Amino acid sequence: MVSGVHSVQFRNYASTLSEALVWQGRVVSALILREMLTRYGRSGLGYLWALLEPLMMVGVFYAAFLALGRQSHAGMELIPFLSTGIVTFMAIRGTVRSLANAIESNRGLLTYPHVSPLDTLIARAILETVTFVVVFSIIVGGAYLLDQAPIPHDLFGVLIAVFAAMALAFSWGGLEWALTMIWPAFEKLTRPLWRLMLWTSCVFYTLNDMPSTARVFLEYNPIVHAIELLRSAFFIGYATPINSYTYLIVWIMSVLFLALLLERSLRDRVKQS
Amino acid sequence: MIALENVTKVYKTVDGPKIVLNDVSLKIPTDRNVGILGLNGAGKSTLMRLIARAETPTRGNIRTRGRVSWPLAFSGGFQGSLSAIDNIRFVSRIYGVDWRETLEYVEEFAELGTYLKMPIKTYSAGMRARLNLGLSLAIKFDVYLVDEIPGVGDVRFKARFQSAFDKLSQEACLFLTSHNSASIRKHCDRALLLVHGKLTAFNNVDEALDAYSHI
Repeated sequence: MVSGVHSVQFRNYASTLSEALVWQGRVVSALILREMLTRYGRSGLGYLWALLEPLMMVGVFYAAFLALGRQSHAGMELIPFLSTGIVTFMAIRGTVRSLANAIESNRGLLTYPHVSPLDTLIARAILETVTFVVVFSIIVGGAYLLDQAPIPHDLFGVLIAVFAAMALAFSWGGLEWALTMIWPAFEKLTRPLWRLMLWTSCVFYTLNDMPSTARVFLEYNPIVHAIELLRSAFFIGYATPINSYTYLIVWIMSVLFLALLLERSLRDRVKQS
Repeated sequence: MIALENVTKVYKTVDGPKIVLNDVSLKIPTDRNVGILGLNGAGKSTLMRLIARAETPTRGNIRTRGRVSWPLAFSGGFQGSLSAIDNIRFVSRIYGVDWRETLEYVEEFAELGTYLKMPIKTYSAGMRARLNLGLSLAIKFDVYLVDEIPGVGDVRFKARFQSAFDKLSQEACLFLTSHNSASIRKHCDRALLLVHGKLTAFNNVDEALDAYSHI
């Protein structure tokens, strides 16, 4: 035995599922702590920016709605209405972008046997989800204190919708990551698509605002489903034409399946380079 | 004990598939140090990475008993944008050991002083080697996978590194690749020779070096 300082028992591999989960938990939590440093820095200014960016965008749209003489939209108070759209959209967009670039900033850490690309994706998605929930709570909570927002009508439904939105972002981001590994230009090619998505995801309007000819197309967009379902859980007075999670779940499951399949087949190639 | 069971490893390259290991079955005891010999590109590093479970075999199974280190390529292996302390934290966390104790050990061993707070990309090769050896010593493995012993910087540390490495070589099991047959002879009692996807075990280093020189 070498005279080091530790005498912790471990094996280099997991022989049972629970051991595998312990390893994975350690790796993912170590990665989250490591990612917090680069995402937010040591000073805490990064945390402020994560809040300010969506806050500014909500503020701009709020001012525009007020200028048009609107105090609410389809029975929803303006700030929480805009937050369910804007903050959710930015969280999905941000998560996908963060996952697509997950490897470059973690390549050195893949030397360690237990660290897989999937772990870096999971760590980033968890961090983005926590950020999303905190930012959303601060903005809507602040609006509530200023008497500009109601208490969520169905808090459990809100949590389900948040989870679904981030599950969508995780699977989508995983797929974008894999495709970017195969064709490095892929992530850049998706940028115009995302610009289009901002206008076609019910971010600052509702599905009901649209004529039925447009709705047919919008309903193909899974982000529309996530945002609309979040609104209908949050506001007692809002009923979305989207009446179930089925479409969203089918989307998440199929994209997730593809993403995990590609991750598994790319894993060794990524770890070698 | 490290057991390879019908292990095949194939890489896709632009020139078609490259077979690094071709249906290799071998039991390697870990009571003695093992030298790994092979020409450049034969796949010595890949074999190390397979044993470390940093990669998976194309076919077959590798079983290891005891704690096996990550492949210690002394030149690399860190996240360059992070400081040494952050890297130490990360590695301690994934191996489930207290990072403060690890840091204390590395501080004392590697003598990097305030450099520990600097990003690793600013380090010289010698500094990386010290950090790498210090960190792997702090975590205490049964089997150390060493890809080439580095030459490390200044004279004072060189002596220190040499004595730490010699101690390691006596107390733990080393798997060592080297182009320098003298260091294989010095540290190893057994050797593996990797040629064209076949892995041959020798109980005697001189025989192995002899076979190696006749490839």
